[in-house]
Amino acid sequence: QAHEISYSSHLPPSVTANSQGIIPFFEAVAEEATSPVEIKYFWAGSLFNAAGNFEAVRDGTVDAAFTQPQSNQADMRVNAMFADLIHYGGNPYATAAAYTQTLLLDCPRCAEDYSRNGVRFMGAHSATPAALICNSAVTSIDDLRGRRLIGQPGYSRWAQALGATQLDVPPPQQMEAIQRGQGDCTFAAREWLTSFSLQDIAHTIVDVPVGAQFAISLMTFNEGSWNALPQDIRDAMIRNMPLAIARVIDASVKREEAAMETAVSSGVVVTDLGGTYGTAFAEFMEGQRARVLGDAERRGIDNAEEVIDTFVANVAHWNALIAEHGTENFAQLLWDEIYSQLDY
Amino acid sequence: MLSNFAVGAIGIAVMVGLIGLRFHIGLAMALVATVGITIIAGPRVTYTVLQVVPYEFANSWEFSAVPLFILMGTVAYRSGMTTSLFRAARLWLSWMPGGLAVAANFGCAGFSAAAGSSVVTAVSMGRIAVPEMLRFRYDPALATGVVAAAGTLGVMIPPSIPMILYGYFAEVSVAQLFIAGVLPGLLTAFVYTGVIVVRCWLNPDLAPPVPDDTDRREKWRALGETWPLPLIILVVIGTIYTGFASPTESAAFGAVAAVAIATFQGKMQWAVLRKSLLETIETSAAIFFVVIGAILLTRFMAFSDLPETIAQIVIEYGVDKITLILVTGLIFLVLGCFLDPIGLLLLALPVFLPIYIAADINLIWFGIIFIKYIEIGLITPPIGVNIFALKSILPNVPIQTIFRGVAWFFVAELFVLALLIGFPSISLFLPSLMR
Amino acid sequence: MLKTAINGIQFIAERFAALITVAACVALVVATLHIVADVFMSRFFRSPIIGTHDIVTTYYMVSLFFLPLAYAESRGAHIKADLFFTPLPFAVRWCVSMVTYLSLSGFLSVLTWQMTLRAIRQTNIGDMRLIGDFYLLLWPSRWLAVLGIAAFTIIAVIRTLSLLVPGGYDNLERRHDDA
Ligand code: NA
Ligand code: NA
Repeated sequence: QAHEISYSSHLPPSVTANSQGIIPFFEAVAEEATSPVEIKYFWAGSLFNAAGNFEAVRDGTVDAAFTQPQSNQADMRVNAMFADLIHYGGNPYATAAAYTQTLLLDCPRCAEDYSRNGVRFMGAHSATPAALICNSAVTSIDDLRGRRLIGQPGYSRWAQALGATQLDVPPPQQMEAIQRGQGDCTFAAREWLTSFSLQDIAHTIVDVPVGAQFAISLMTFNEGSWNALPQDIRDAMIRNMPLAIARVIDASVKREEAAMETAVSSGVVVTDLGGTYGTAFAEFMEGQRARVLGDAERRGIDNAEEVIDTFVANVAHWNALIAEHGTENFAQLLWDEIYSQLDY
Repeated sequence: MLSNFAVGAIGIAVMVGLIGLRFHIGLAMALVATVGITIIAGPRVTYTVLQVVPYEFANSWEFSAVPLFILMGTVAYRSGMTTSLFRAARLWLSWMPGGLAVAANFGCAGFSAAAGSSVVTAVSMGRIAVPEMLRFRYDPALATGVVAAAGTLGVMIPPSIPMILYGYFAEVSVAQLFIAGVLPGLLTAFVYTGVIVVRCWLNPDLAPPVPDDTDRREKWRALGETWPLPLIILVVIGTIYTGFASPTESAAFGAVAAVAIATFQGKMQWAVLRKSLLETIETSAAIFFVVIGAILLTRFMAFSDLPETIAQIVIEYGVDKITLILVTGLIFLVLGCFLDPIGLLLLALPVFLPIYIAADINLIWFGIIFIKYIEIGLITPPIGVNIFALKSILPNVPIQTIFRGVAWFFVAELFVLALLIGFPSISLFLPSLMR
Repeated sequence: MLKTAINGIQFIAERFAALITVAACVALVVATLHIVADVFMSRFFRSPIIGTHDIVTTYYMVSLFFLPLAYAESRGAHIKADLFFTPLPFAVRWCVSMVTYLSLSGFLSVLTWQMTLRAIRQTNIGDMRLIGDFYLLLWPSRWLAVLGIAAFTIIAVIRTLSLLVPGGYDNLERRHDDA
């Protein structure tokens, strides 16, 4: 009798997180574990949407799922703060590792959001840094005044600081929204130039990183289901988690390089607006910590500094590690620094 | 112990039986789904599904377009805009064999441009056109059949609720889907016209001639009174294509435009507004209950391995694109017999879309073909939602009569389907101009 | 005696269903205006009404889909099909109707129960969403959904009971005319 593990995601199987992450992950687990494993996938929200997946893992309706604290803010009060920290996202390797380490080792309150709901966080990847992709010429920071900038709610205050408005459009619909003039620009991972056809509307890319989405859980596992699995399957899963995270980020970075090459060769203007955009962003970031803390208070979180400091310290730690070791052995680094120390 | 596949298959059979016994369609689906999920996955899973799924769906931005488009169509109907359209069509087409039926056909096509749903189109035109045809001693099967069949144009001619949902699932542009549906919709209306004219010409008893006693000036005046509906359509389509509004937002604009025009015409009395609102709310609630059932059924299907097993069979046999389209088309036609359109859409797309994407099939083109399957499913027994809807407003016409009436149009649908599959440019020509 | 009691309860329940349906109508109107205003504000004044999507879906749409379910039932508006039904003898039709309304009542009771559990839970955790500077409470909308489903359940139970009353079946069959 094989152990069946069900995994649900609101994303289709084709996205990098699934095609490079989840699917090869479970293939490897099935191969390495001595006990037989069978995986049942529920893709593209065929069971629940992003918010529902968290509830489904919690209730044990599925064993595992892709979840994002942003969709369950009241259940994940501490973790929802990381969605507010979107501007702190940078190098995807360092960001993903720092976030994963924070949740798994260094921040008991963050882990408690999960354990209180009877689930466990298994790991997270990170999107590559977002650039501002616009459908028309942008030559100075003043050109952005009055524009409609597509991006997650986390970008709304930065858009406001630019004198622009933020508009939330799901990635697959962004190209069309910009083509038809609903939006003028989008805060997007540069990989999306090809994966979501933003290439077709891109005129100017303001290529200054202003953040990256990382506050997700590639896999949230139901505690009861986890405890019911034999040790060899659990071992295989913990062993393969770093590999899955590394593969997803590697693939995104590679796609991003190719996408930027195509964009540049097809005449898209890539600019940093003579440094003014970066300067303005740095100024904006000076007040960001206070804003995040203010939001944390409204979320009812005490002593939020502690969480932010832990995360920021981990980002510095991982930036240093990556500067020293490079990213070729990123999975091994994740294993040594995080997963090998887990008690599961 | 039954396999999950068997539970799924038996569930579908039981559901069809319950629907035949006049269970609420939403109830039949929900009941089978609830019991089925409990058998396969246990009561805890069922409880989560019940807690999450209906609320989650009511809470979606895409689905918000549904009541707004219904409101727009209902105001257009209640304030007499659709009646004037049918009247003009009737006056101008009375010379033709089966002229009233042809008028009803084009009346449906015109109404489709206001309504996003086939049921709404069939019900609204059924109220206007069927009594007229029966009054002139048209064959009841023809009179009801044409409205039931042409009512399906509601989902092909934009705006269209299933297209909104398809665009959501397939991640393609709803605006492009909308424009792609125009030619196939008109093509269908013309093929229907051919069917009506030939049948009535061969058998004049089906449609006794209508005395034509109106003069030319009267006819022109009738034509002049048809402007409000095209104007509303212009508002909807215009706000979408200029990027002024998203499809859901354009639905709100369409509703406001309908009210504004009716007010301008002096037809927006308090009673009209009140009835339009109540009718919209009642229809939305009725659709919502069916959607709850369909979504629960979709979750049941996800747990049983029915769709995967079918997809597996398709992957094993379907090699080239046309074979794939034809083989899966056959499955959709069979499923369409039993499922309501939203149910079919929600059930089939998550399973089959990846196959089409893998086969590099143009998803706009396939979207139109899929909408055609939905149209056909709306008029095939045992569960033909359009026929049930029409029946609900015509208590005196036996349901068998309506099914008999749509049989000819079903054949016409297969012909149009073949054209759409054979000539992708029918669907893709207009969207190609948009780029 | 039973008949009077059922009629009395039915009268009250249907009034209540009609009342919350009026609320749904208001939600429809407000939703339409809110969306149009948001588009104008963001297009012409570059200042969209923050939280429009979330308010529209969480409050207006949940109201307008759930609240009128009971009213639609009391008017026989829910979609049904009678393939084999009409030709059946009266006793069989009565039995089938009884089974239909018993299972409708049963299913809706379970749904009400589960949605209430969820509403209590979401209330206890103070379900909310923070969208930039905008703080939206989500849990009250759960109770709107419960209200609609519970009213639907009550109407279904009353219709089941009314089958037991002489002449009840015919009343059930009669589809109400236009409002
Ligand atoms: Na339509
Ligand atoms: Na059918």
